[in-house]
Amino acid sequence: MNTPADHTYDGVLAQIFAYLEEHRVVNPGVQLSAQSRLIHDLGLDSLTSFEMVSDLEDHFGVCVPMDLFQNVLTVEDVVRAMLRVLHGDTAPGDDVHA
Amino acid sequence: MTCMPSPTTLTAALEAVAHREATGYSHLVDERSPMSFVSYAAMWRRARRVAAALQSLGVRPGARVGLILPDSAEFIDGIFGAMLAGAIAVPIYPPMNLGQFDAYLANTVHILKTAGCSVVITDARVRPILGKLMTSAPELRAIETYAGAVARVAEDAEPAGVAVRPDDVAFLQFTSGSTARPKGVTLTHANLMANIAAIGGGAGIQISRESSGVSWLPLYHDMGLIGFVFTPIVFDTSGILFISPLMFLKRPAVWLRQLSERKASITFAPNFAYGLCATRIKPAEIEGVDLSNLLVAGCGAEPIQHGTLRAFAERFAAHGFRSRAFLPCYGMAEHSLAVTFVGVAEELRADRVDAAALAERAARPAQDEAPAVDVVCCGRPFPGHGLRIVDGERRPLPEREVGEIELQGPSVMQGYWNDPERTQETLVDGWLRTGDLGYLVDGELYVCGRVKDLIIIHGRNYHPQDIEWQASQVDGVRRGNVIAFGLHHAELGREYVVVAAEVRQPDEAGEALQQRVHGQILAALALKVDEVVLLPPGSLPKTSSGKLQRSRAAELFARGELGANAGSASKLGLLKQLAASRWNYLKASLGARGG
Repeated sequence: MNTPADHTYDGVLAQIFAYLEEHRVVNPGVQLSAQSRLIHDLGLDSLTSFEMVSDLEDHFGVCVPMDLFQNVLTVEDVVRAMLRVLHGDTAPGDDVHA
Repeated sequence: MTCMPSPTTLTAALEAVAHREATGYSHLVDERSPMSFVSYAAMWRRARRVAAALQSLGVRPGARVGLILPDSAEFIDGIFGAMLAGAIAVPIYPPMNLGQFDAYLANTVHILKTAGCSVVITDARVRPILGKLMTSAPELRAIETYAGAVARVAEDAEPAGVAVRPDDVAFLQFTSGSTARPKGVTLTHANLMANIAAIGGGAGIQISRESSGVSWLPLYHDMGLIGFVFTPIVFDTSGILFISPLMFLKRPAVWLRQLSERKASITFAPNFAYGLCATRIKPAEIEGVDLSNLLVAGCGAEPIQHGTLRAFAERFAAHGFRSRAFLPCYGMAEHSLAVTFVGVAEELRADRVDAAALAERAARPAQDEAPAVDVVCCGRPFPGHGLRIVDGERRPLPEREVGEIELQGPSVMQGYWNDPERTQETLVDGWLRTGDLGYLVDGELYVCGRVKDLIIIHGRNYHPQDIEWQASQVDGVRRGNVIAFGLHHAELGREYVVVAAEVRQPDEAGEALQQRVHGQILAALALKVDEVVLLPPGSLPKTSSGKLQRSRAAELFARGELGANAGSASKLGLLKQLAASRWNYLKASLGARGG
């Protein structure tokens, strides 16, 4: 990514949509939305969901503590969890994966 | 130090290293947080405090204590603390990501009731979702957080008046239940010490005080708990690093980076983990990683695929990984943990056998052109332990004939807790019936699959793992996300063979891909599959630990519910018929055991 990552709600949402589109884990008939449920609507299995998180880490250059994802059900939950990392009190700083 | 008597219980083993402040266990929860270190001496102190806390909660010797502790350091305190209080620990997996709480709670209630747990120790994040458990499990008196429990007693508190004996039950290992409700494997200190001595001894992986390990395995699972929590203490090794399983799944490269950084000599993982590393790690993630200190890369807990291990070895050879480090093994919770190990530093070996002959229970070396199957060598049983291969009437079979694996010796469990019926089915005439199929060559074990999952066509046995592996090779199929099963079909007079495969891209799920799957299995195994069902990602049923659930998939298919929106509509008539013949299917699958 040459352009700086967009740390807004819309920016994070767009990145998640991009990931889901690229990896085609969405059922064709299902309209992708912030309210889509990861397992029931989008068919993500646990390994894919972990892969998505590591993709987001790479894109935003941060490390996401896994316990933030303990209660994630929808795409929007992922966005909220990511925003907490991006704007949290503990600044992300430089990252081993950057 | 050689005059010291060897400890005969796990608690005595911990006490024997209780003076060591410099060696012990490290814990890595995420790569940004500092690694925490708990010395053996600190573990001894912390476990004694937990034991005293449990006693203050009314836990008496023999009582069962559920442990639902995602934090690895707290979990270790908890299991040793329960033992030091003379109680029986019951490790239970913590809730996974992405919800699915209803199934989780149902499973947890089943375990708590079967074990008769009176107390559960958990953490502050999990506790709220366990609220309902109190009413569902009548014997349960308290759900305490770790912090809340230890706060009941002073930091230097000690348990009072408990003598732990070798024949005491150390803990209950609830099996993950791929096919049935979880069963509580009952293991004594003597069972565990026998298996641990074999694992680390001369016929095992030859652990020394210099050995150091890295593990991301969950601690509620036998390989993580016995292999990496108990064994290193018994052998007084320099230390282990525990990586959170969730972190490994998110970023498999962490495992290899930590192996490199710590110059670790020992690690273990199931087959899928090596596959995940081979396919998902990006080169930039492992720059400078050096795996040349790794002497033992154990592989067990699920069927081993030669191709997966070879792919890993090829990919990471440039990082100093030697394929001789691979140590395939066979084991099961009912045998404490390990049954057979390949010798240290032996080259990875597979037996290339004729696929058609294997279906008739003969492991014949393959001819050049014939369809063949590579079966990985899992090594020899341990000294003082017995292993035999038997036919359906439980008569021992000669080498290169496939039958059920049966085990004997000091590592064999006492039985399934509170389940005499399934104990009697499993422990028969002094042998443990594993339900696994294998054969011997020169005294070494080759494992082929599960008795119950066998697909039998015209008297020929096909192992679903082999069919699934072949389907996984087809471009467009999601590797490792394939389930093969057979359903009894009255009109055909044989089993109806179904391959359910998840596809990488839904728009590829067409007839062309189905034909490629048919073709691959026909060419490789000489088996004509009756139906290939292509499904969107995430459709196949899995256990909490991610194991594919074959019997559940078969059940869903028979009810017409497998990938209901994924285009198998033309088969409606058949589905109805299969649903009607469900009883036949059940009989067929029961009859397959030993038959």
